[in-house]
Amino acid sequence: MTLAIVDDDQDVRTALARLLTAMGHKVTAFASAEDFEAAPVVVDCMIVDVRLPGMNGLEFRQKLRSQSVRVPLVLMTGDGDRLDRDARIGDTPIVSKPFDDVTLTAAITDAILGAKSLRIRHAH
Amino acid sequence: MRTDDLSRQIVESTGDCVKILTLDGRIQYINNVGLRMLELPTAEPLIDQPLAGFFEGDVRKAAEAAVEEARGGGLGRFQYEMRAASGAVKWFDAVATPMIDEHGAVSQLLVISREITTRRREEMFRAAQHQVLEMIATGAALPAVLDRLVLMVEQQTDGMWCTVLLLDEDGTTVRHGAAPSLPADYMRAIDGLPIGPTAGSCGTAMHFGTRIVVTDIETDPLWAPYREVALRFGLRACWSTPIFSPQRKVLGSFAMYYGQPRSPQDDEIQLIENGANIARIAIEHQRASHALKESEARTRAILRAIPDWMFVMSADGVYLDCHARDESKLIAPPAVFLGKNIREVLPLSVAEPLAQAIKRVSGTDAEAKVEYTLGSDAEERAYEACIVPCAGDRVLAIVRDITDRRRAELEADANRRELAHLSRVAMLGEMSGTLAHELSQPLAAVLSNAQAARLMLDHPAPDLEQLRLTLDDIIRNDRRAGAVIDRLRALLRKGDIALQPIDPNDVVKEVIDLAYGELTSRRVAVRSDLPSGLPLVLGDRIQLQQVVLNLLLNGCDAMSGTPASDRQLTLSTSSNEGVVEIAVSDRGSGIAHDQLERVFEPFVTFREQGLGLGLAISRSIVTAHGGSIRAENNADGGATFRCSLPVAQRQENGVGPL
Repeated sequence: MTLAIVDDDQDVRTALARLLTAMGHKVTAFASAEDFEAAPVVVDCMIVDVRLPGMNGLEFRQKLRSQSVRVPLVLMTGDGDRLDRDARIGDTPIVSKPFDDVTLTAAITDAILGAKSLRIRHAH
Repeated sequence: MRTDDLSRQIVESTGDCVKILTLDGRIQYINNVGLRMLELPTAEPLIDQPLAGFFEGDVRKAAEAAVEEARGGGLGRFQYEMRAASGAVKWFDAVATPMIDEHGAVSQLLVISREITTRRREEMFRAAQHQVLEMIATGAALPAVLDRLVLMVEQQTDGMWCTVLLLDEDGTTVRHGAAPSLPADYMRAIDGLPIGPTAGSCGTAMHFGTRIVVTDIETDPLWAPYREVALRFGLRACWSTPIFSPQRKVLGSFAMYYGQPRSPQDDEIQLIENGANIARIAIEHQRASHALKESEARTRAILRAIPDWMFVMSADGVYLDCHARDESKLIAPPAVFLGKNIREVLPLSVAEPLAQAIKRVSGTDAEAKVEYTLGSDAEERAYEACIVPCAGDRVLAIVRDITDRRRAELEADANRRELAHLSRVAMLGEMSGTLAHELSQPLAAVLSNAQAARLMLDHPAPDLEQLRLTLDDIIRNDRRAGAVIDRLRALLRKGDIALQPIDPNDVVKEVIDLAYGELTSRRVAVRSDLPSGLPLVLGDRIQLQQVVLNLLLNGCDAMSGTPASDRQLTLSTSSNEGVVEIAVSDRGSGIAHDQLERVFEPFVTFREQGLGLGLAISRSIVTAHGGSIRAENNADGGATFRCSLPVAQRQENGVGPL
């Protein structure tokens, strides 16, 4: 799969890219949503931190959806307390840091399936 | 005989008493002036009597010597006192000279006596006045002085008695002053009477503040109320003059009484005024010394009431004098330490700083404060000595037991610490979301890196360089997580205050690091302006971080209604004249003018979260650091909180216990 990571924390960005690469994916990493917008790439799924400088992960998702960009999205959060409140984001799975490869893979799969089912529902 | 007639005329026309004596000193002749002086109708009782026989003692010897001198051809002289038939005492200066007959022999003696009563009285008055003034000056009791004064004045005129009455402090009641020659019963009758417009001579004189001359008590209406008692004691005339203080306050009266109706001569008026004047000096002096004694007594009373101990010490630390309300609380009785050096009296660790402070203060106009503890193992007490220069190069050490105050301060410190801690916990609670984020970032990096490494190892030809980089990242992120935990632990710790020299820029940087997540999630951009080379401040790192963090969070809150693009917080430091300032500026809506000071009051909050204690506690922390904190509105919108802290001194004094 081709994946895009958006996280302002360089350590997290590097580690995640390293993991996903080791898992056999092709990964592009961005430090902010604005960085992605400046040089968008076509990917199978985006993994986006909720807390970002500038446009945050939720706003970014909203913006993509409003532009009818149906790219599958996984949101990451480092804020366990707010997870429940923020978890009801339609079809978008959320993973809480720190997460392992299994959790992340499941979330990516969910996101892709969810996006597809959304598309299928739309088709009907 | 013509010559005789001429001689007689001359003799009678002089104002002197002229006597002619036989060679053996018997009176042969006395002129009419002499008879008038002696108030005798004829010379009969004197003729043929030895002149010296009229005198006694020393005067008689002097008279005999003078006669002898004249008989031998020389000039004899003596002075004597005579009581006239009326009882009046008169003073005379007598000169005896020989009378030579036609053969050149001494035939008779001529004695010319000149009355010197007035001069003599003046001399005596001056001497007596001197004596009275001396009594006043040497602090004799007022009644004794006034008695002496009255006797002195009475000596000036026969058949005259004087009184000094005093006016009570209440301004209306007459008090006995002095009347040594008047009956005690009469004085008792006067004592305690009120002054008034018809209160005899003295009461009236004091009432109106003018001299009152009553020539006949029997008929004068002023005496109506007291006539009966005065007449009973044989008093018929009374002249009284008020005694004034220099401020024209009536102090009393000076009066002369006579047994017959009488009006005063000029010299008698003068005498009354003289007496009143000396009485004034005596009364004033007594009142002044009374006031002085009262003031001394008051000072002593104040000293007794002051719980402090006072020690007068020489410049080199010798105890010279001591005042203690409760000497039993001193470590030794004054008799033991007076005269000794402080180094012999107190433990050296206490004596040394005190001795140095004494030396430093002595002879200057500076003062020094030294705090120390003394006491047994059972009870140690804290003292504060305030050392001020006193006369010469001596110093006064005012020592106060501050054990209770110290205890209260420690309790207040403990309370403040407790409150500061609670406030920190609350503040961190508010930030728990972002702080969890701070921790989960490195943990996420560690986990991802670790799993990546394992996957790399599954590769048939693992890229060892990549593996090394990955492991390095794991280590670094683990440390990063540890640092976050350390920081939190420090902020959550209750621990003791640790004063240390701190770079204020470090405090600001640490807080920005800590709040990074919070700032990001609130979309607040941080700008910092931290010039290098700032002087250090002496403080507790955690508490100062707490203050800055609180100001930072306040700034964020103030901008919650500000468009995200405008949310900028500026943290800056600067230094000026021994003070370092940390300023936190926001771009929020500012603070209403009347609230600028109120925001530091407890439970006053403009934030949605928190107890409203943050700024109150920040202020208490900064104050305990010897600094100050204030809020002001920016000219271009928003508010700035400025926290000033004193630059750390080289010696670690000047900072109170925190």
